[in-house]
Amino acid sequence: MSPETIGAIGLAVLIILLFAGMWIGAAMALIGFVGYVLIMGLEPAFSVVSMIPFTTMSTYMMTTIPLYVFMGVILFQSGVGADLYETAYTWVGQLRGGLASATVIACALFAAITGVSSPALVTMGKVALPAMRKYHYDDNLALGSIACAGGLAFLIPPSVVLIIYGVLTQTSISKLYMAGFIPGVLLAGLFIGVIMLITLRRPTAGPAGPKTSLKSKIISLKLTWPTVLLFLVVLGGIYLGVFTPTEGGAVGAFGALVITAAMRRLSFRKFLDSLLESTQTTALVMLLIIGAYILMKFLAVSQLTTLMSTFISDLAVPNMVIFAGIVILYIILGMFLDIISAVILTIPVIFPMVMALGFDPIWYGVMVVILVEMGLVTPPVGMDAFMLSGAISIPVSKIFKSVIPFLAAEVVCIILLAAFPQIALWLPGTM
Amino acid sequence: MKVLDSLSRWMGYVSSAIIIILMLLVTADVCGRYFLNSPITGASELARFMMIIIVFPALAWAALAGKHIKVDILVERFPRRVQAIVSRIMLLAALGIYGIITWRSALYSMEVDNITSMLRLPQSIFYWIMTVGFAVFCLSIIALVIKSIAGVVKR
Repeated sequence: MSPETIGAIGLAVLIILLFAGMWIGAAMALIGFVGYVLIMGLEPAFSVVSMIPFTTMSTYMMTTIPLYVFMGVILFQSGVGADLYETAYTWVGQLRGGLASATVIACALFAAITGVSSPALVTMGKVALPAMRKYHYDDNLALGSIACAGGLAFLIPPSVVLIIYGVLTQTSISKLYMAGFIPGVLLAGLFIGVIMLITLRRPTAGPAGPKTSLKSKIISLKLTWPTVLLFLVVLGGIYLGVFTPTEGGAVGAFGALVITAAMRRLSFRKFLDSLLESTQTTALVMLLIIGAYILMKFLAVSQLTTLMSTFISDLAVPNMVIFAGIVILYIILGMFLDIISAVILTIPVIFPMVMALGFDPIWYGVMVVILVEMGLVTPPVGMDAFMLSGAISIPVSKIFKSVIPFLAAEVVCIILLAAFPQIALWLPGTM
Repeated sequence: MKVLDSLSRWMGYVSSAIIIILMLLVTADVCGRYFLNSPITGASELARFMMIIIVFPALAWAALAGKHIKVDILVERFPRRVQAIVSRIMLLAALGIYGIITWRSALYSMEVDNITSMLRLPQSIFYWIMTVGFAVFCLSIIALVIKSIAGVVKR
């Protein structure tokens, strides 16, 4: 059997194992190991599995993961998200559809200090949804804005997904962070655009909230300054080259502890819970990453990825058509997997092809995040939709229905990014 | 089983403590560099090796907490009994690969005699921490299989 055939069979078996419910990290490691044995022999395979876990974990880039996870969990536990909604609501609540727009703004702000979507989803489900119901918002508008805007956390830095993408593809995390910023703001703007269009056509879908005075607007800002400060210090520091991404994460987590403690929002219990949760999350993500590295070793020696890359780049179709194929593949994957697994699982196979097509690795990282985010709120198993449905006890089918107009905004964002890569690449280019 | 539960939990606590130490170390290093003009020698090297203690001792605890990332969509549609059998086979497959990793890590840990470049720590310490972490992780997978057969876990 040629190595390429072994590679293809390996991927097929991997998919079967995943659907049989095997732990994703274990399945990747197992297929990687067995495949390596078949191609290179037992001893080299043993040496791969004895080296990979240690060498991949003991890198400086990896230390970013526990730090940003910890920072996000502390801020979530301390209830900063509710404050953000309060501020956004005071500023834009009086506009038509304003409470939904406030949700998007609060999610974007929350995204600027956390790296995963669950804090925003749970917080907004508990804070923003009751507020919108009080003002008789259309449920579809309310649910859709929460479910989709929650995903901004993966795009607006700090983002755990962009870190993992950077680690696996050897792309600069600092640059990826900067690349995610403008598309994230753009997407938030598009979401608000959708809300305005809906409420323009059907004003009853999102009536205006109560008027607020300029004074109360200013006062409400005092709830938000810690977020803005943390964001400016962490991202500003990374942008200016004052910090490495790891240092940004450590200072950010430390800052989050100090600020939430000073605001008397952080009990010892909450601190402990945040820490333990971060440890477990880190361990599970790392198992995935170790699995992905072992799988990558196998795919590299199988020459399968090289073969596929050559095949694809020799195809007589425009790059953008192939890219459209990748888009569809990711949307399908996003339906079955959470965003972190989807990225870790596909990078070993797809990244070499994308590079062979001549796409920019930083631009592609941003693209992948938006793509998988779409899958997170679409049936059959959009993870974010399920998480939100669990947090607020609403049938998930209602959430799937509610996100449709917002998905249109994500598609527009993808098209804009494909047409104007500078949206993502300009900011990192100025570093 | 109880011993394994508390052992893995305590190992998880160690990992958690190291996250805090990592955060403080890196923060202190940054502050030292910019405000006192004296960065901590070997901070980034220490941070790298701390990662080993953050990740591996926590594996068993995370596994027993049952938050593993997997795809449930297809398996959920099968009858209960088939589900249970498939999940046991998948656990055994996971045990197989992590068993091999543990075994080879142990062998490798015995060979390593490097000293880290800045701090002059013997690297084998960290290799052993990883090996022990993987070993307890394997035990916890065995525990999950036993629990599943004993019908304690109804999934």
